[in-house]
Amino acid sequence: MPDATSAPEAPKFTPKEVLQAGDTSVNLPGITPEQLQRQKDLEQLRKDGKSGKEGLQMASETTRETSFGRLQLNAFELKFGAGETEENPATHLVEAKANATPAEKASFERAKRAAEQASAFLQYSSILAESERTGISIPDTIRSRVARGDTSIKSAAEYDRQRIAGLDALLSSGYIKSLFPELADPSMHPEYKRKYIEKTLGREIGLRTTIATKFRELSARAEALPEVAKDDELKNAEKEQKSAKTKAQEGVDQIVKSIETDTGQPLDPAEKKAIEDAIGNGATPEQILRQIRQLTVEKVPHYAEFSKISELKNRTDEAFARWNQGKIPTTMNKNAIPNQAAVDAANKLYSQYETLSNEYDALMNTVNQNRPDYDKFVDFDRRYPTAGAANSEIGAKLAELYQNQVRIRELDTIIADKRANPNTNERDSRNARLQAESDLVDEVENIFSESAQEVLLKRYEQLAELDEKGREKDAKEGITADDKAIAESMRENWIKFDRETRTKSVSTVRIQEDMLTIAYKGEDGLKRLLLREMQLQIPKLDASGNPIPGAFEDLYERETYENIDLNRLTEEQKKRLDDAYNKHADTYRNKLMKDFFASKTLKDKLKGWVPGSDKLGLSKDEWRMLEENFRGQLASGLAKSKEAGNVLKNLEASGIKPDSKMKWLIYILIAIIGAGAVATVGAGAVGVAATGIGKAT
Amino acid sequence: MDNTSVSEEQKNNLYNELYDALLTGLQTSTLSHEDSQFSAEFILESLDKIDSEDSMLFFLQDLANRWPVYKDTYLKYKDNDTQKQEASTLDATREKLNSI
Repeated sequence: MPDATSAPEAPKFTPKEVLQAGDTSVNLPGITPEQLQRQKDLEQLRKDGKSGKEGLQMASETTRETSFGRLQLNAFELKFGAGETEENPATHLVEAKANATPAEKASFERAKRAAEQASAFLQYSSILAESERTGISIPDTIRSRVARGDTSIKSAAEYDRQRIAGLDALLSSGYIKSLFPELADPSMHPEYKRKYIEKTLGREIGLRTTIATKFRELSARAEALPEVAKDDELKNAEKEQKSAKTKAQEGVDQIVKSIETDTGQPLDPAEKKAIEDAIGNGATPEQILRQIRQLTVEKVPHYAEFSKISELKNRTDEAFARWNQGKIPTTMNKNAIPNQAAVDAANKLYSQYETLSNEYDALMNTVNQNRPDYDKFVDFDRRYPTAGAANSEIGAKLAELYQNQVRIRELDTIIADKRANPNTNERDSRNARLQAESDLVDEVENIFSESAQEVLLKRYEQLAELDEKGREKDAKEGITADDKAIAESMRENWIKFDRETRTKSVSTVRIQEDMLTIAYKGEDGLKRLLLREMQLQIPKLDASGNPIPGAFEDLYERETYENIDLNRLTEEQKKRLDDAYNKHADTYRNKLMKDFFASKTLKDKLKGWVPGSDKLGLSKDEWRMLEENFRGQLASGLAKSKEAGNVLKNLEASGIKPDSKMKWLIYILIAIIGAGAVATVGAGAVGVAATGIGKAT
Repeated sequence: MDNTSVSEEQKNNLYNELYDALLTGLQTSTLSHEDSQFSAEFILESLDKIDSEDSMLFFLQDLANRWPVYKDTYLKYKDNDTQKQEASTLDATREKLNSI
């Protein structure tokens, strides 16, 4: 409880209250003035009578406040390498500290690589999505984002780099590899592989959202990584070192600023770095001042002439003194004959003096003609002296920085020594920290696999639920017993989805058998599967081919339903089977294929899946037979999908003729994604309506 | 709700409601600016493609699971759906009773 002497708490306002008061300049905890302004702009749009859609369009525009960028990445990366990391003030990139151990460096590098792959994907795909949504080209989208302050990607070239990094990371994730093993073919052009994944799963908003959410969760967990229990001496040394390094950096900034102000010109990066390196490497104040003079005094026009003045003046004065000493005394008797040698010597000295004096006068003439430059020269020469550096302001500053650098080096030694010989507590806690980092990075590395799996699973569940709702609706509207039996079998046969518990039980044997039946027998096989589901009563025959009274064929037996002579059906049964085929064949086949795909790819997410027991799969020939048997359905399904069409077009443009398996996978995958609730259960790119996949019976 | 198609007017109403929910989220600090951008993108990429009331409900459910500020909108539509289903069941029962 605050007592009477404690400072009164600052009043707290919600952002709304602040906005209502019209003040966006105040600082609220965790909210920047720019964010408040963004909120105000969004609210104004509504007040101006704009529609919700227009408002959302504005809200969807990334700005500096909303883009996933360097700041988030740096915050994440700084947490790794047991915290032995720092942001390089020049590049703004996070690096492992020089004194980090190899294990710490390795942990940091691994985290950095994984995080930057996720980031590359998020940044590139966000631009692609915006460009597709608005119809504005990628370069123009980038330009408009940069103008809004989102500088996560600043150029088309950077976009290309991030796109390649992001898509390659997605392609190399374990789940995508198992989903599309054919993409591992080394003869396939990498760009084709990228286009394939980009056009199928890569552009899925659900995937991007899931990756971003997961990354944020992992970032939050990185904040809570266990601390290394450093001993007090090490902690103090690191603290002092940090502050000394800050002081060094501030000193560099101050000197650079002073030079820039004096010369009225910014230093180029190499010049800045040279000063920074000189200070960082422990150069003496005199050495650094010589460097600084090159950037100041020596840049003044006529520096070469001005710099001679002092020396020339000295030499002129000396020559004058010499001549003065050796000249013929004026008091000498006029009739006395002067010693010729003495006269010559005096004349020579005078001549020397005269030459220097003329030179000096010429120089002073230059000075008088260029007085502002000369004044600047004199000023700089005084402020950036090489001799007597300690007496100048900058010399004193450099001396201080020199001492600071000496201390940094001492601290380096203390820290290195302490880190090489940690106490048990510290060693154990550092190991624990690195292990926790490794576990977390495992998750970051799995972010693509996990997210893709999660998205497909969700889509599958939504389709299953939609199927179920459709069946319930049909039941209300009245359906035949055959319709009911077929609907029931589609729900139970392959993957049984329990809406209440949201569990999925899978029967891989039945899926495999039924896939083989339709692959080998085509439409006839499909009809026979429907016959099985309808459980029509076909009398058993004795050895002579006569019906056995009261005995019926067991249509659950694969041998029976695959081989029974359909001519044994009565006319009424034949009609019922034909009706069922016309009504349900496409839906039934697509549900089977969807469950095949789901159980093959979602594996352990499905109840009933036993690791290693999964023998699901068709050979290349079996996929080809499936295509031959259902060529029309495959072609029309793919033709109705813009996305599928694009993937196929890209394939052909890359000179690759997709085989049957790939065509079917595109067909099924896009059906699941397109039909999913990126909002489009029942619609979407291929769409349930187009393919029949997932359409309620 | 069912598989009946969704009109443009219904979609526009939903856009308005979701935008208001987004603004409320920002005003009450229950939605970060980063999430407001992301969710707006999610809505725009999804809602136009919706063609049935069922899919609309799935979309809202997904949206609310990702960003709880949209939960009220989802619940409202879900309630409407339940009421509609109950009314339909009642009608069917009444029809059956009348036919007896």
